[in-house]
Amino acid sequence: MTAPAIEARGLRKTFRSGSRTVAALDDVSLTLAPGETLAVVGASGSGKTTLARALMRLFDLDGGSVSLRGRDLLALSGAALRAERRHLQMVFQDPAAALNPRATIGRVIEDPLRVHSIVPASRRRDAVSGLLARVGLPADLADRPVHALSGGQRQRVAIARAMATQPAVLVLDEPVSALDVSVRGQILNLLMDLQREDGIAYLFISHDMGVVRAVADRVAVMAAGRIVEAGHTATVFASPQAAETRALLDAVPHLPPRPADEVSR
Amino acid sequence: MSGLSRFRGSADGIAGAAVLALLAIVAIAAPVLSPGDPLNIVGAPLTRPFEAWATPLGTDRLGRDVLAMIVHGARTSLTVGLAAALVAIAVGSAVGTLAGLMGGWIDEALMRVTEAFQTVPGFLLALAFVSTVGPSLAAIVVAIALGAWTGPARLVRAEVLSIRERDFVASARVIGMHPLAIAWREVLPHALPPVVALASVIVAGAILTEAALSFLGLGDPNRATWGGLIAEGRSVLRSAPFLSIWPGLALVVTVLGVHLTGEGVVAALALRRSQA
Repeated sequence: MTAPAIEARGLRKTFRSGSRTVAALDDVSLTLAPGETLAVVGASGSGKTTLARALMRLFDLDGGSVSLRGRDLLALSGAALRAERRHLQMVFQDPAAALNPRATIGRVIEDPLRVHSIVPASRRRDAVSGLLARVGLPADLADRPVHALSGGQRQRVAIARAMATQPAVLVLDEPVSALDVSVRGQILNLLMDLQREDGIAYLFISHDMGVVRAVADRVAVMAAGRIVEAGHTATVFASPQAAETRALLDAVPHLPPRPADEVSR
Repeated sequence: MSGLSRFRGSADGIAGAAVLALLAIVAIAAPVLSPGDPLNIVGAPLTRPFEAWATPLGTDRLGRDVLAMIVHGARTSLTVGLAAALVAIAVGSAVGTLAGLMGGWIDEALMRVTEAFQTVPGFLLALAFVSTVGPSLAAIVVAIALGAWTGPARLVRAEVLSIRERDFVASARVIGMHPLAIAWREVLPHALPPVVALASVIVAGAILTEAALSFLGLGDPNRATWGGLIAEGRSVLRSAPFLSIWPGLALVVTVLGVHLTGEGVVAALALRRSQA
């Protein structure tokens, strides 16, 4: 077995508001191999977005360990943490909120290249064009402002920004749930193509079991801050064990076959 | 772009901008409009307005041209007003951004200092500073900014507190951007629009404070200032009221122009916000 791209052990996070405490993450562990997609599913408030943001070190954990490509991520801080971040990137749920509304597309994609000195300044425009092409957008979009794009185009830009540093792990926090149904499939196909080309490991946060079945190798089901079930996608879908998993599966709409006369009409 | 067109749609804004543009032209062209030192004696003392062609607004007790002094005074007023507002907004924005982004004890400390400054009346602060350091243009600018930076600081902090929670700031952290770069490039540009609206109030206040300092004899003695002119005319107020009225009118028109421009800016920003 190859070394994991990212490995989290016993993650804990408790939020306090007044006298109330909420265990958002309660002993959560997961492993992700290079090129693999692990879906984390759960209902609203199950802690899956907290897990994504905790792995990104957007806030401090109360306990646990995260190892990224064999390095202890939680031990890093300051410049060392910022440098290590190039290997771990994230795509946010709502592309309208996750991109600086005053920036141009070019700047949004160029930022990671500049921050990590990946491409010298003179060749950055070409690199941006190349990244735009990889996510299926024309190069002349670079000078357009973020707010001129549609939701699907913005999410492509966000993906290009995340791919710019050639990360080992990409955390996708419900990357299609804020998008029109008509463009969800395109974005998912794009993500699958990029994974095949670069061998990136995906941590795919979602509540949509239909999407998960299409993209994930393995599934982890979260409820109340704990992982209640984990396994290969086919196994979990064929014989769900936890009550929460069955509830999520039941939530997938099934249309009853229409009566023959209505179809023929 | 559309913000500019909304500004043009505001009658207040147009009127204010026209007044300010005129004043700016007068201030910039002062050496051309009335060459030489405005403090030179050019005619008989206390010439009434519209009596002599050379001194259309009259002369003061020493025979100095009132129009020349008002034209040159526009330079002082606008320079001090804009410079003081600029310093106040720059300092206030820096303090507010730092406090809002860092949080914790840095936020606490900066806010306590801000409150300490707010408890002292701004004019008293300016008065104390200028009488200690001595009257010069730079000292007056600093003195006025000393009392004016707290407003922008609190406003920017409040904006930053909400902006820092937004996803595009998290996204900047995720790509490993330096915290100072995040503050400068991602957060501050979004916190500034309400401060721009506040700027007109600060500029108007700064112009009035400068006039008041000059009136009390704490202005730069080598420059013609409107406040100084009003003070100069005070002793002959009964016999030659025009000496105080002309600079007073200039002051009123300027402050009105600044306020009207501010109204236009607020209208442009408010519409942008409601559309966003």
